Amino acid sequence: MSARAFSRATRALFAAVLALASTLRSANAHAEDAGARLSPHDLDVVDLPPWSFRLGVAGGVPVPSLHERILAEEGYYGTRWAFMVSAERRVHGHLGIGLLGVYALRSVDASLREDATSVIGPSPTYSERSWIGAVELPLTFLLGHPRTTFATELCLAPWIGAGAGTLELYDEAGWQAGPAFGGDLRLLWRGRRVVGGVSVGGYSLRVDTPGAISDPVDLGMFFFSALGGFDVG
Amino acid sequence: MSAEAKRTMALIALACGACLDLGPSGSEGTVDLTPPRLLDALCARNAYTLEGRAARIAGPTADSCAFELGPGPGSVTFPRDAVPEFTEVEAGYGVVNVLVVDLGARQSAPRWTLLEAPAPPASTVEPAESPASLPDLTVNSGGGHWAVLDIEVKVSQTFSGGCSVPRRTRRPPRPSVPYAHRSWTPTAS
Repeated sequence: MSARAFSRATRALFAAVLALASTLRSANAHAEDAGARLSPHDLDVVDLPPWSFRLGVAGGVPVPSLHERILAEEGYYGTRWAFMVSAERRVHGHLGIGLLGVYALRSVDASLREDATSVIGPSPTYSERSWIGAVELPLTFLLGHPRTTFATELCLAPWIGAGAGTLELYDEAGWQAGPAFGGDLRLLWRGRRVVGGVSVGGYSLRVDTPGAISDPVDLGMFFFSALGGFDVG
Repeated sequence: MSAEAKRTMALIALACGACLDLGPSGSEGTVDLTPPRLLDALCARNAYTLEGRAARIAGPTADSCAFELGPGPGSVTFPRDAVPEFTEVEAGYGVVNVLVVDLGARQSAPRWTLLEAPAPPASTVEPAESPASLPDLTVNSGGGHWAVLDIEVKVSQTFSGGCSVPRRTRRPPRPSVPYAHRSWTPTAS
């Protein structure tokens, strides 16, 4: 290698080292800037996404009522199930507004009562279905640091709306409408976009009682649910 | 022990084993219930008679049936031959219960109430009271306001144990209840 070629290679290597150092310094400066922007005070507000979409599956016990006691005396009792879907928009700080849809169902066969050892003949299956549309006001807080892989989110979501339900033994009953309200407390683990977690809550959907019993039928329940979803924006 | 004695012992053991495997022993028994919503079957056949302030209404669901009695005097009567299991009660093997709710009470709970108990043992049955002459089953409001939501027949049987064939015997489920009720008038719970 000639002296001229050696000098040229040395200059090129030196230039490359300078370029790498410059790049690292620039990246470091970006990181510091980002750190400065995300102060502990407004960290959660900054990181709450504008749009959230959630899907949940819930199971629970029906709200106590005279109708439930009558069913229990007949041997009909069991878990009520619900599928919930919601779309939420963050409107101010921790507060959001959203639309919620609930579809709940239960289908149970009669259990043996008291000291009975068998039933003479077939029993009808009791089934119920209900739909709810509601407006919810989710109040969301981030509990974990957003620069970790997963952040923890706590969300209290009360809602109010209306619904319709049907209760039947012989597939011949109609639908009845009524007011609905409820809410749940959600504990979620958030990635960049994907969210998953659990929630506990309850809701009420009161429809007119068939017959002469004065208490309305409540198709609501106290539930535990598993939910997931994604954020946009 | 001789071979003959051993053989005898083996035969006895075999016989006892077979005996023990023959099924229920001692005072074991069964309690058979008519399925829930027997009342719907009666309503579907219009097998009832209303008197006074009584009306047919929807039951726990809009497609089921119940009866509202009162306020005031009213009754619903079910013919004896409407349900085959009613004959079990005639024969002394079961009881008839009705599921009622006191509509007049502010906080009422549904409860099964005895409508008819087994007839007294054969030795004490009066000659005029043969099963064929038993009246229909009636639920009276007693001046109150009630909903009759369902009716059931509970048939109880006991089996004698040992190697004998299981034998059906009377088993009154609620000995403290007076026998031979055929008309029930509710009282506030």
